Amino acid sequence: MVSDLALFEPNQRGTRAYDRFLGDHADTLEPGDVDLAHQMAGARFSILRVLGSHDLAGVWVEDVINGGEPIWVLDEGLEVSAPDGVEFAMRIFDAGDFYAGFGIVVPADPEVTDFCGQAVSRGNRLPVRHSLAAALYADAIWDEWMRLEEEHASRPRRAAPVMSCDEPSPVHGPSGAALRRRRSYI
Amino acid sequence: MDGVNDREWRSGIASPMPSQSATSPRSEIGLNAINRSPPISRAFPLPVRSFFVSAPGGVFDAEVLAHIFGDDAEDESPIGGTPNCAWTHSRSLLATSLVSEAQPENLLWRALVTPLRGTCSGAINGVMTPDEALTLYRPIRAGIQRVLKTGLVGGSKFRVRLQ
Repeated sequence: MVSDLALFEPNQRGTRAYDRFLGDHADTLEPGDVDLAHQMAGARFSILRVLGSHDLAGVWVEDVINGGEPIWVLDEGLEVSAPDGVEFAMRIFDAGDFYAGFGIVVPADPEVTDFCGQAVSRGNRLPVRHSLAAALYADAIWDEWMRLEEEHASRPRRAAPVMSCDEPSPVHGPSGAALRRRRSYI
Repeated sequence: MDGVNDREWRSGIASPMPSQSATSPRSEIGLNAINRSPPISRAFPLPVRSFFVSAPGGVFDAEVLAHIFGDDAEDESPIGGTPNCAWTHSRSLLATSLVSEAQPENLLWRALVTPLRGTCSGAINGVMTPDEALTLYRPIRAGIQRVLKTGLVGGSKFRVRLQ
């Protein structure tokens, strides 16, 4: 996720590390990858909704935020695990025959999806602090951490080990339910 | 006089795919798949694909041949139902036709392959197998990882070490 943000999210000056890489270091790519690398430069991060399985492989999705025609995303993982109607976010690009993703799929909160759709339809900027990708990746990491915390808390505890005062006590955050609402949106 | 013998010499643009806006979303999706399918579009740029020259009433009348070879909406394709066979035949035939069309005077051969092209493009577009799709996809997936890895190292101002 960090790599994805570092490469494809523009900085304050609106430039992307990936574009700088393509401009200055494209010769470090294998010759067969150059065309693919330029196709990848057109990647966009968006919230997508699964419409159904494609007859061949992958899934049909629609861009919830930007609209447009259904998109054939060829991703074996999505095909296996994403039920129809589910909304998720990922960075995809037009690979010619189909769209391909970069392998990072994060769930999309229906509330966020709704807010973003409304903002775009009104011509406003997305209601996220930095970027949609950064916001949703942060959510995904946060939710995973909360899940692990809850799992850890629900485990039967053994007898508390004797701890000296010098040892740091295990840190547990507030309850997951309370923290789940802590989002990185404006 | 009716029938195919009544037609005049002509050249024109092959009929575009009818709009499916009134049909179900599923059929729209299918149409998008057909429209997006690139193998035939890569092999044959639009001007080459879309134009045909036909002789009226003759054996090589494009519409007659289209009927014979099943490029007719009401008929079943003679090679329908055997997509792999259609794919194989069409690739060899169309590859040959590309060479032949380099000779502008070869209208006979062009008229012969034009309806075949229509039939075979349908076969290619409509019946690409899952294996073929995955064969296209897997090198791209591997390439994405290579590009991202190279980009992360090359696009950074700092020294990046990837595990």
